[in-house]
Amino acid sequence: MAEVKLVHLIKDFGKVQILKGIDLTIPDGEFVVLLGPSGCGKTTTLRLIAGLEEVTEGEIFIGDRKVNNLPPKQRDIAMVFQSYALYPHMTVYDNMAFGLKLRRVQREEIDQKVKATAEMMELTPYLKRKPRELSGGQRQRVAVGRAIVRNPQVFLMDEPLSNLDAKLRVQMRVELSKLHQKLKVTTIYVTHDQMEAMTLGNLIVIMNQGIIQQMGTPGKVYDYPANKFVAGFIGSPPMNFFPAFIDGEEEPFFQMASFRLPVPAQHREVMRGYAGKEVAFGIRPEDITVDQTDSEGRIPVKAKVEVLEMLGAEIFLYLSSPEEAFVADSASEKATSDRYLKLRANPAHSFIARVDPKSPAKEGDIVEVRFNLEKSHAFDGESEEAIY
Amino acid sequence: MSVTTQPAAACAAPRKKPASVRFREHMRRNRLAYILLLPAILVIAIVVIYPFFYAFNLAFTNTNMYNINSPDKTPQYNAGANFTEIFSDPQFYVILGRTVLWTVINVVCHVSLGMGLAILLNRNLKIRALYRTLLVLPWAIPQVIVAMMWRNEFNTQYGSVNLILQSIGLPAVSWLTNPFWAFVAVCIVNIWLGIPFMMIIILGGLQSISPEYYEAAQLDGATAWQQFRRITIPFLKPVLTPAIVLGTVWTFNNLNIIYLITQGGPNNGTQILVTYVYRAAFDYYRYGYSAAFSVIIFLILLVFCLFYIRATRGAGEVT
Amino acid sequence: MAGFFSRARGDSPFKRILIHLLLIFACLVAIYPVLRVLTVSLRPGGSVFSMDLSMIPADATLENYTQILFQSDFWNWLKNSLIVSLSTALVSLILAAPAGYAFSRFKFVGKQPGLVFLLVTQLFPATMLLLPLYIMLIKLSLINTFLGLVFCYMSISLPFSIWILKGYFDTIPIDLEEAAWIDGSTPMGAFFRVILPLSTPALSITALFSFMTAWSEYIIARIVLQNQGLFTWPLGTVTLQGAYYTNWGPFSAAALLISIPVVVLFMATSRYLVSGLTLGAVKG
Repeated sequence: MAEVKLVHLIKDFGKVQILKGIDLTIPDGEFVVLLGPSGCGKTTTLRLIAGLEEVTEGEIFIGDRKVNNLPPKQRDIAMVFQSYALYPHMTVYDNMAFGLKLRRVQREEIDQKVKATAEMMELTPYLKRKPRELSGGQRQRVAVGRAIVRNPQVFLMDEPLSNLDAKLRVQMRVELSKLHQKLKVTTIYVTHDQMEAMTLGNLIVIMNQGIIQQMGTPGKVYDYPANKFVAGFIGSPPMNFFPAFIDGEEEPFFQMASFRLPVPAQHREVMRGYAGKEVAFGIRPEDITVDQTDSEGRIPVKAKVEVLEMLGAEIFLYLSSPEEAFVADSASEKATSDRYLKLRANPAHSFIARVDPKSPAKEGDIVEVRFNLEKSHAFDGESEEAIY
Repeated sequence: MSVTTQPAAACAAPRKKPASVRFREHMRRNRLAYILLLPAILVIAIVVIYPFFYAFNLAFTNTNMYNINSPDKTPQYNAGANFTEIFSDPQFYVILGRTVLWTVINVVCHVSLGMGLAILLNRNLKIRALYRTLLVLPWAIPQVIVAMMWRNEFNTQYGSVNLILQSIGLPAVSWLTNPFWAFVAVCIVNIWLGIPFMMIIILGGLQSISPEYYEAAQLDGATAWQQFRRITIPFLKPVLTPAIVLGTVWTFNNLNIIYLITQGGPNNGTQILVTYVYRAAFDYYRYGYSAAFSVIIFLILLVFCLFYIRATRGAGEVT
Repeated sequence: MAGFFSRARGDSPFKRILIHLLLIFACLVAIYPVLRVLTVSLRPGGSVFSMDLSMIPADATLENYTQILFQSDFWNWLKNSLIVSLSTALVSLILAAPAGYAFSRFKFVGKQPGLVFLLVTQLFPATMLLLPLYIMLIKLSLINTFLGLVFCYMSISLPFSIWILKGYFDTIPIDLEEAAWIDGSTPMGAFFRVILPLSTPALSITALFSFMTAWSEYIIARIVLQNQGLFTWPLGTVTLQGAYYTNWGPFSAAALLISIPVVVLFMATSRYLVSGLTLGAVKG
């Protein structure tokens, strides 16, 4: 077990820069998930740690050792591949024993370790089979078993669950979680599935375009996204964004295309600095309520239900705020400003609300929605960094 | 945590490293490749690359069996005299023409008959495997045996070809003594021999076409010919193109059949370029001349392949 | 006619009969000459020249077979052919497998030209390399040796084997080697312990085709081997037939005896050769 440290890691493939300076310290024993859309550099980061690609610039430490120039076999790591990469010509037993044999471990010790691991992974009945005689889930277990049997300092997992069907994936997710609690080995797990990331990781590292966007616990990245990309990437359905600008001197408010919302009291101070500037107002679907009697004095906004998705435990409402429904307070002299005209150019805005299944809303209805502004977010219009 | 730009990273475009550093890195990464290649490259250098250049060198000399190892007469460079001789010999053009004719006849028959059989076989027939096995037989038999076997069957008096012709009331043909009929005979043998290869290639191609395309075309009211033209041929193209190139090259260079059946005779009537040069080299011992001739044959094929590849690429192939 | 060119499901009975008739005719054309060899091989010595067209001659005898098996150099030819063909197959494989792997997995100076060159060797007319090789063999005193003949065969089988094996290695996912590196093997170790064992089918097919190329080869053997004691079976059988006096009976018996094992092997493996050829060619 060891800490993994990446210092300003850069990777070029020809003229394309895949990683643009990654600084990351993964504490000993943590389960860290690298999360991001495809092409964001997460798999490249993993392969650099494994030693399967050569570092262009920067340093990689595993424990106290700088491993930049060590071949994979000397890094004391194990990896689970997306394709599992089980050796097709070897039995399950031999697949798991291969790494130990190469390290010249005593035969009895190999036998004992492989059998213990097989027991743990519930593979004992299959030890004599070849990979092609196993189901997808069983192959996945062998791949994990092959990694843990060697008791490495670090586990690297490259989307290991993406080839399983949905039900098995959830089951394996739980098992991987348990396994980590038992073994406490530093694990770096790559995925593009944010559900997987949220449920598995102690820490989530969100990457995009070769740069780390944010690192934190699942709760932190969900509640306090560092920027608009993270806010939009984490959460399903994703956070709703409304283009807006800030108006009002003493009591600033968000001026959207067709309605306005006050800035929550605790954020007024910072938002005054954005007066007249473009921002993005963000709100998660679960922080929008529909057709409730006015609790806590929230401002109602009219919206049309375009599509209703019934999911059993909840309903997703796909809403739009039509132009003609409410041109609130358009007499204001601000209406003539360029920015307002820009917002008005595309006034219809669609957003999603996640509501109680007992909600009486029907497709085509005009409903009143209310935003829980305490849970709202604001992002700088240019840098897209979170303001609050 | 920065977002879209990180100044240090943004300007960190790939730097050029000094050549010596890049060479060392390349060698470290790919040393194994050179180790793995070395034995094969050594042997290829001896059995292919050296002889290849040697042939070019030889082509410009007057080497023959009598001066190659003789102490008083050594081979001399003759300033392209071999090429002048070949190109000023009318027989060269006759043989070249015959070689092209031979190649075209054979390849056209191989592809069309092979495709016909493949289409017949490409359906649910209970004994398809049996048909396939029997039809592949001509390809499986060693070519020496094929040639000798057919030479016997073309025997004017006792060969089964003439016996069958006579039994259906046709006159016997003097197959191997008349230049025209000898050429027909070797063509028949080579067509017989080459159909299975094309048939198997095309059958493989046909089986990879999903029946849904035909079903969709039938729903659209396409005729059998339209389906063949619009679905079968385009889908076969990726396998057919290399198969035709290979088939053409193999036929153009096919020495076995003609040499073993007629040795290019009678009266050079079945001579193609390779048989002619083989005899010049090993029956008449004209080494320099034969080397020049070989080089010419090679260049003809090279030009053909370059044109063919360009032509098929130009046709807008879907890859 | 609809669906005539496609995989027909509901062919009419008339059409089915027509298809079978065409196929049966084609099969007859394909096997008739071979059956004739069988017929001729069963004829007694006196009636080799016969105008009879029946399949099994009335006076069938195994006389030709006993003559071939006990009174000719048949066994010697067979032994010579085995030595030459096995050496060719083995050496080609040992050299081609690592080279094919290098072509499949690594970037090295001259990789692309090298691949093109391997293809270009297919364009050489037989004499292009044979003539220089022949002169080299004379100078090295390797004429009339198996080593010399194997040398010549390598010039055909080695480029071909590299090409085929490269195509096969291309189909193996690189994940497997990466897994082996992480498991603790060197790149060389991954090749020997993972890739080679995994490729046994492709390796055996490649070796088999090198073997069969050498096994049936006549044109080159005729040049390199002039000593009758060293003759491989194609040379032997052709002398058996004789240039003018046509010794049909024993020739036919020998031809059949030698062809049967090759034909069986070929039938079992032709599928793989075709896929190897097209795979390589399509990619090139």
